[in-house]
This record gives sequence, C-alpha cells and structure tokens, in this order.
Amino acid sequence: MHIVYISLIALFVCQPVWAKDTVDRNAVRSEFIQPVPYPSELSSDKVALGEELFHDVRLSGDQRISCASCHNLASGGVDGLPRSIGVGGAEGDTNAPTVFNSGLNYSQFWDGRALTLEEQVSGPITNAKEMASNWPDVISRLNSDPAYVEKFFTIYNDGINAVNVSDALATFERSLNTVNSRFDQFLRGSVHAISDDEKKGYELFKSYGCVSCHQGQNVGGNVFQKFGVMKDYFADRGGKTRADFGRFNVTGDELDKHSFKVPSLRLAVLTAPYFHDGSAKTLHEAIDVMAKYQLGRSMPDDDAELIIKFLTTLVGSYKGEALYE
Amino acid sequence: MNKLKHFPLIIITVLICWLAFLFHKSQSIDTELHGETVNSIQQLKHMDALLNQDVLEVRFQSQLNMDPIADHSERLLQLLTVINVKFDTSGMSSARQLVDMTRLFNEKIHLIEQFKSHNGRLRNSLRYLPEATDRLEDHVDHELSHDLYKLTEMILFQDISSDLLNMKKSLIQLEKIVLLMDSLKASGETKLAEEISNIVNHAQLVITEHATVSMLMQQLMELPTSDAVARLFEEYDREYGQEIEGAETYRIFLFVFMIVLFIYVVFLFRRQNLMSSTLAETVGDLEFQKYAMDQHTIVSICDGNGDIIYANKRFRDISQFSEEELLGKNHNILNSGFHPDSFYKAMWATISSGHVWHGDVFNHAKNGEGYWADTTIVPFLDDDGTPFKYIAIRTDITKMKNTKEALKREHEMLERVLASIPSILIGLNEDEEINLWNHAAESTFSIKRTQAVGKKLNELDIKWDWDDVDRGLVESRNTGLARLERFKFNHADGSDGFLGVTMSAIYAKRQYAGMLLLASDITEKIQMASQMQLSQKMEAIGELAAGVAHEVNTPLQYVGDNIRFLRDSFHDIHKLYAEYQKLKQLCLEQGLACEAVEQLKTTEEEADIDYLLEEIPVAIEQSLDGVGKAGGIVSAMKEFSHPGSKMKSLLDVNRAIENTLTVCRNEWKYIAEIETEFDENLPLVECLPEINQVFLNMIVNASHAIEDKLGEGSPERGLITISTSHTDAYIQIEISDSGKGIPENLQAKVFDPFFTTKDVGRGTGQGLSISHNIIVEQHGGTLTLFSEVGKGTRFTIRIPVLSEVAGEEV
Repeated sequence: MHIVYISLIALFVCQPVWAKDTVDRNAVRSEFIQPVPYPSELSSDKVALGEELFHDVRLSGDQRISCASCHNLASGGVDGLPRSIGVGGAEGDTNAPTVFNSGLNYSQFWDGRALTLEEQVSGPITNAKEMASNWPDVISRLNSDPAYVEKFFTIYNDGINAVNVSDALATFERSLNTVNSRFDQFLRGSVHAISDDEKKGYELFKSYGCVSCHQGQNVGGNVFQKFGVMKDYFADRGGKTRADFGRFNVTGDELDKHSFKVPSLRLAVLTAPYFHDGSAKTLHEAIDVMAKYQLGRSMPDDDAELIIKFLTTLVGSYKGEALYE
Repeated sequence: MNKLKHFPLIIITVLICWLAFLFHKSQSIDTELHGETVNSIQQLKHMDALLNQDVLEVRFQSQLNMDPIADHSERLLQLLTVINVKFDTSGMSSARQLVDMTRLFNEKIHLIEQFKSHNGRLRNSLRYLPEATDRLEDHVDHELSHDLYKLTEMILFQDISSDLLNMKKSLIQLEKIVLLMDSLKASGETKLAEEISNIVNHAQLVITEHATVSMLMQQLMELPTSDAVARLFEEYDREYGQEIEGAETYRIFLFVFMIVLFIYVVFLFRRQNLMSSTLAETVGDLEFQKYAMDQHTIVSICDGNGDIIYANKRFRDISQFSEEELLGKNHNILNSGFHPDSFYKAMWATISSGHVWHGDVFNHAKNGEGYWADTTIVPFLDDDGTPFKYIAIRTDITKMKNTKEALKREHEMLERVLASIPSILIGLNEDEEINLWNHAAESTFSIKRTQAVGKKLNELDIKWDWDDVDRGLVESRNTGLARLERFKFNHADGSDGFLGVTMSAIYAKRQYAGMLLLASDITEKIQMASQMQLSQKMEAIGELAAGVAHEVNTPLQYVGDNIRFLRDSFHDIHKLYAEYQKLKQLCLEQGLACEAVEQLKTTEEEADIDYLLEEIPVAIEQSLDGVGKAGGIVSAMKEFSHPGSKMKSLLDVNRAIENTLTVCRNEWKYIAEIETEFDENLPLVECLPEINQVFLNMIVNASHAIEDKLGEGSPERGLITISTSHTDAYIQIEISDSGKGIPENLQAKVFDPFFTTKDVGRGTGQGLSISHNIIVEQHGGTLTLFSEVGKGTRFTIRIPVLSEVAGEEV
C-alpha cells in the first residue's frame, strides 16, 4: 500500500514538472540556465510539520543533532565545515550539500544513491556518523509527543511512521527554493537586474565551459561527472577514501568511478568549503581546481573574480528574504 | 426454534453472498485500474521515445541544458514503479515481461547517466577547440595555425561523421601538432606550448569521448526497450482479455441468476400481495372485533413496567380519568386500598412470569368511588418469553357483586332460619336427590348434611317405614300435599320415635321441581301423651286402690278374727288331743279296747295326725301372718293414698319409709335386699302426705336401676340402702342402690319432666320430676344425687326441720 502512496505522491509532485515541460520546453531550449521555479502546490500543513521535524533533535540518537545542525537554514543550508560532525563527534564522509533548492536536484547525495528527497531522509538518520539513530526510536519519540501525534493524524491517516516523516520533511525541503534571484530576473527579461561585470562573468562561465555541467534550473544537480576529467585529481590530492569513488559505489560500473553528482552553484557563494571532500576553502580555489581538472584550462584571476561576481547573482530569496550573508 | 427463525436469514445471507461473489467476479476487472495501467504503459512508451529524442538533442546540441533529459529519466523511473505497483495490485502475472522491461529501462537510465556525463565532456572540448584555435591564431606561425585549424576541422568532422579514414587522418594530424608542441617547448615557448598542450589534450579527449559517447549511444539505441514495452503491453492485454472473458462468463451467470432471482422475486411479490390482502382482511376483522370489544368491555394496555399505554373509552368512563391522565401512568392509580399488598404482588408475579391472571378487583375511580371489575390480564411475550406488554380486560361487576352479596346475606339468613327451625327440613330436587338437609334432620337421624345431600332419600340409612314414605311422596306429587301422622321411625340410637311429616311438592312453571318434607319429631309429645295417659291411669288406679283397700279392709278384719279363733281353738284341741293320747297310751298299756285302739291308730295313720298336728298350727300362723300382712298392706295403702290435705302434718319419716317399702314390696322383692339405717332420734317433720310419693319413686327407681344392671330374671339381688339422719336444721334421707348408675351427662336431666330412660310403659318419666317438685317446692328441701355408672346411685333428700309453710314449730 505504501508503494501506491509514494507513487501517487510522486505522480502528484511531478505535476508541476509535467506542466513545466509543456510550457517551458521552448524557453528551455534557448538557455543553459533556467530560473528557479516557485514551489507550488505544497500542503502548508506538511511544510509546517516538516519544518518542525527538520529542526527537531529527537531524530538523532543522542537527541542533540537535527537536520538543521548540518543544513542550517541561517547559513545557506550548510554548516560551513569540510565534513559535518555527527553524533559523538564523528566526522562524516563528505561535505554537506545545501538543503536549499535540493528539490531541484535529480538525485540526492554526492553519489546519487537516493533518487528522491523522501529516500534521502533515511540516510542521515540511520548513518552512525551523522544522526546515529533508527526509525523505531525516532517514531517512538515522536509518538510520545501528543502535539506531533495530533499533527500527524490530522495530515496522515496512519499517524507517525517513516513514510510520513520522510514525506513531511521532503515537502518542507521542496519549499526551500530560493527564488527570484537577480539572475533569474535577468533570465525572465529584466535586463538590468545584473551588472555588466556580472554579465561578463556569465559569458566567461559559458565560454570556459563551466556551463557544460553546471546548467539547468539548479545550475547543476542534473548530471553526474567525473571529478578529474583532464587530469587525475585524486592522484594529485592523495588520501583516497571510499567516498572518493563516488557513483561507482552505487552502480559498480567502472565508467562511474570518481563520478559525482554535479553540485548546484545557486548558493555557491554561501556554501564554502567546496567539493565532496570540502578541500577548496574558497570559491576562487574551487574555480581554479575546476578549471584545471575539469576544463583543462588555465584561468586568470580576473576571470575567476568575474565568474564569482556572476555567481553571486544566483542567490535567491527564501520566505521573501534574500539569503546573502 | 431459534434456528428455524434464522433459517430464512441464513438463506438470504447465502444468496447475497453468492450474488456478491458473482458480481465481484464479473466486476473483478477493475476497469479504472486497467485504464490507469494502460495509460501508464502508454506514458512509459512516450517517455521512452522522449528520452531517445532528448539524447539526440543533447548529443547534437539542440538542447543546451540537461534538465529535460534528467526530468524524463526521473519520470520514466517513476512510471516503472507505478506500473510495477499496478501490476501487483491487479494481480497480473506478466511478471517475466515486466521484470525484463524494468531491467532494460534501468539499464537505459544508467546508460543515459553515463552518456550525459561523457557527452558533457565531449561537448565542452568540442566547444573549446575552435575557440582556442582562434585565440592562438595570432600567436603562432601561420603553418602551425593552419595545422591547428586543420586539426580542429578534422576533429569536428570526426564528431559528425565517425569516418574511420578521417579518424586516422586526425590522429596523424594530432601527432604532427604534438611534435610541433614539443619543439616549441624545447625552444622555450612554454606558455605557447602549454596552450597547444591544452588543445592537444582537448583533442585527445574529443577522440576518446567521441568513441565512448558513440558506444553509449549505440547501446542506448540497441536497447530493445520499446519492444519490451510492446511485449509487456501485449501480454498484459492478452491477460486482461482473458480476465475480461472470465468476467464475461461470470456476468452471464450473474445475468441468468438475476433473471431467476427476478422471477423468484416476482413470485414472492405476488405471494406477498396475497398475504398482504389476507392480512389486511384479518386486520380489518380484528379491528372490528376490537371495536366491538371496546363497546362492551373495559380495556387497558400496559407496557412491560405496568405503565398505561392505551385505555379505551369504557375504561375512561368508568375510571373517570381522561386520556392524558392515564397514559404513561402506572396502573396502580386504580388501587383502592381494598386489597392487601400481597394481592397485587401475587397478581404481578403471575403476569410477569408470562401467565394469565383472573380475578375480581376492587378499583377506585377518580372521585374515589369504588367499583368491582372482573379482570383478566394477559401478558404478551416476546421471543424470549419475557412479557413486554399487558392487556387487561375488565367487566364491571359492581351490581352483580352487590347483588351477590345481598343474595349471600339472604342465603345466610335463610340458613340461620333453617338451622334454627326445630322441625326437620328435607328438600328433594326433581330427581329425588336431597338438596336440603337441615340441622334438625342432622340431629334427628344422625346423618350429617354432607352425607345426605346429593343422595336419593332411599339411600339413607333411616329406619322408618319406606312404604309409607313412598306412598306419601306419591300422594304429595299428585295432590301437592301429603301428611303422615304419627309416623313411626327409629332414632339413630335405635330408640323408637314418632314423626309428624308433611310433604309438599314444589312446582316451577308447572313442572315438578322437587319436594319439601317438613317433619317434627313428636316422639316426646306422644310419649308425654302416653305418660299423661299412664299417669292418669295410675291416678285412677291409685284411687281405685284406695277404694279397694278400704273395702278389703273389712273382710280382712273378720278373716283375721276367724283365723285367730281357729288358732286359739286348735290350741285347745291340741291340748285335748294330748289328753286323748294319754288315754290311748293308758289303754295300750292296760290292753284296753285294743280294737278301738287299733282303729284309732289306723285312723291316726290315715289322717296323718302327726303331720296335721305339726302343720295345722303352722298353717294357721301363716294364715294369720298373711292376713296380718294383707292388713298391713291395706292399711299402708290407706295411709298412702290418703287424699290428704294440703296441710302439712308432723310425720315420722322412718315409719313413712317403712310403709312405703311395704307398699311396693313387689317391686323390690326379687331384685334387691333392703337395708335400713334409721336414725332413732329423727325428729318429726312437717310434711305433706305427698312425701310418701317421693319415697316410693326413689325406691322404685332404685330397684329398676338394679334390675337393669343385673338383667331381668337374674338370680342375683342388688342392694338398696335407706338411711336417715338429722341435723338441727334438717333431716336427711339417703336412698342408695347398687344399680346401673346414671351417666354424668344425664344426671342433671333426671329431674326433667318426662325425662326417662325407661321403656314406654315402664316409667312415666315423671317420678323424679315430681319428687323434686315436692321436696324442693313444697317442702323447701333439697334433692341431690350422686351416681357412678355401673356402681350405683344415691339420692339425698334434705327436708328442713322448720317448715316455712305455716305449721307448728317442733
């Protein structure tokens, strides 16, 4: 029965995407980057419940860590650490990606092992290095809170269970689109929404070829790419970990070795450090690494700066407030 | 019984289940789900085609970003899940095709991912090469520039054509450029060399990635996903078709079943109608009956708690309550307080246990007036046998009750009257059975009413002349009245009696309805009459006796005198004889006149002179004695039956008693011994001559009593003791006998007039009564008795010495 529910919900959720397809197909063809869509048709009850759960430490084993601990909404949806610290001070495997606009990604996690936001919820909860909990504990803790019980039963027929918790959290996460950035306004026709430098930055972003992978609504998040196309990044960096094998850990295909989901650059200016290993402390560093290993180009600093300027225009608003630091 | 009741329910349930089953089976094709499934499969096909299109668009750069292809990939995966779910739900077993198809699509998506990745790289490098080549144009010599352009051209062409020959040429060209780059590097143009190195790298990348991308695309194109979808659809359709057919079959069955059911329903309906009309008729009848009943009887209906839920008009009229006042109230508002609580408790107990209760109840109307109601309460039972409704039907019997009461009282009075009637009342009905037997009848015949009533007269154990009775009955029937005078019968104790019987026939509406016998026990009357006769006779005889005695006295006198003369004479003769004997003796001794002496002896022997000499004096004495006795009797009798004055005179009681004994000697002579103990100093008492009668009575009674005890002709003799004594105040005479005694219950009665236990003729029954009267009334004394049955009786007479009646004091 749950599968039916998920698929129906999935179908339902896909509706806007269906609509988008017919409407935007022509628009889509003309540009690499598309504006962030306004999150629509999300049940406000679920969003509110999801928000509450997102900030609830009871989802963790020691009841001190919530989703917001590593995906802090106040700081761009990340924690600013190369790797997050979980229960008992355990260091995670990879850098925490931003929760904002995560609904626009076509898979979750660096290796794409979760196809949907709902599937992603179980990951941190059950990961010993992250929240180090389990569903039975979480559910029992939530059940012992009458406020949750009432809210859950209001929205869902079957009360508190993993599916409904994931659904609520995912619904909330889908509401975290940062909309109406200056660049989006520019895309929508406000020619003066961005400055000339920023326009120049965008041109460079395109000419250098960044746009081959960082494209679409989320400026990334819709394609997997090998980290170290032109050169062997991991050989140069050293210290290979399992996480470094990326998509290969999921598919087992040789071709997928060191292949990672291309991250979104929408909030890049807010989510340092960068890359799955959090090795690039600054955006400039990241750009340099990208130029060297992915583009096989050398990029002068001025170009990098201009590109950074462009990247700042990508930052949108959440709940009416722009997310600038 | 419960099972039977539920039987139709079970049948209906089975029918419904069967119907539901058929219906379900015929509807088991969830057309909605089928539609959705087909739709999903179509969408899958569509999505597959879109993806193919996307791949080409991405590859050949008509699509700039990868959102669409990523989007379609996601949707395809979702569709796969949905279809899997739907197939699961509908229970379609096209599992193999589904699994195959799912696998193929998963593979496709995976390939697409890789394609996106590699294509990105390819595109990036392809875009860079012309640009880079352009930028270097000014910085390198013409030849190099030309070579670079050529390389770029070849690469680009390679990208489009995949011509093997071109590939070779490109590789060769690349070699050339590499050599040039090396030479530049050697010559110190590092930056330039680096630039060219970049170009070379990108060119190499293009070549490798192109191959990869081509391979991926080839694989993608070769994936028989659309076939798989088509096959799945085919299989699904086929299966669905089968199910449709199956459902169709069920539908036909269902249809047939419905037809049958319909016919049955129509049939039931008709039957129902029939029953309905019958029911309506019955209801109509019942309504009418109810209406009719309502006109006559008082009806009320209560619920299970006894609260009134219906009261008909007659009820309201008689109880004087209105409908509002009655409905909902408990029926105990009728209680008059006449009946005790136990009455109502018993009533409730009966009806609440499901039984009908009958009874007469005295109820109160609203104004407190009472009325009697002949009540029947019927409980209505539900299936468990528990009463849930009570209907009470009443008839006003107040008048009847009052009439009955009056009748009862009348009857009781009649009973009392009958009971107090001293006459015997026997009632016979038309069948000659006794229906009336009063108290007098009971005591006379000693037959209780219960034993008599209902029996025929001749069944009773009455000793009377039945012929006379029958004759009397017949006469009475014929003439209406019959009388039997002096009808002899036997008392229950065997004693004779007489009845005076009147028989009157009863006619009701000129039909013989029975007989009424009125009888009086005239035994006593007759006895009394005969006693009276006897007494009169006795009186007459008494008088006669006195006369006789008087007359006899005279001859008796001279008889006595003569016998005395004879005695004296004989005495003298005897003396003479003695002298003659002496002479005879002398002769004998002297032998004189022997013949004469012999003749004398002979004559003496013939005459038995010894005997004569002995017996003649005795005879004379006896005669004298006799005469003396006779004289005594006569004089006693004379004394006794002296008419006497009403004046008292002094009497020597002792002498009186002796006289009396003499007079009645015959009475006691053979029966008892007499013992007298006379007080020698007994004072004379003033008595009436009647006192002798008393003594006579006593003595006669005593001897009778002894005779009764000993039995007639018994050789034994009893004892009568007469003693006299005196005190200063009175003299006492006690007469005791050893007779049969008087039972205690009769001791008081003995002084009653006409009371006697003796046979008719033997006693008048007056003796003691008169004695009592004489002693007590006429002399102021007392007459008491002490008796023990079987032992004897003692009468005690006390006569005061000082008489109260005028007389001399002693």
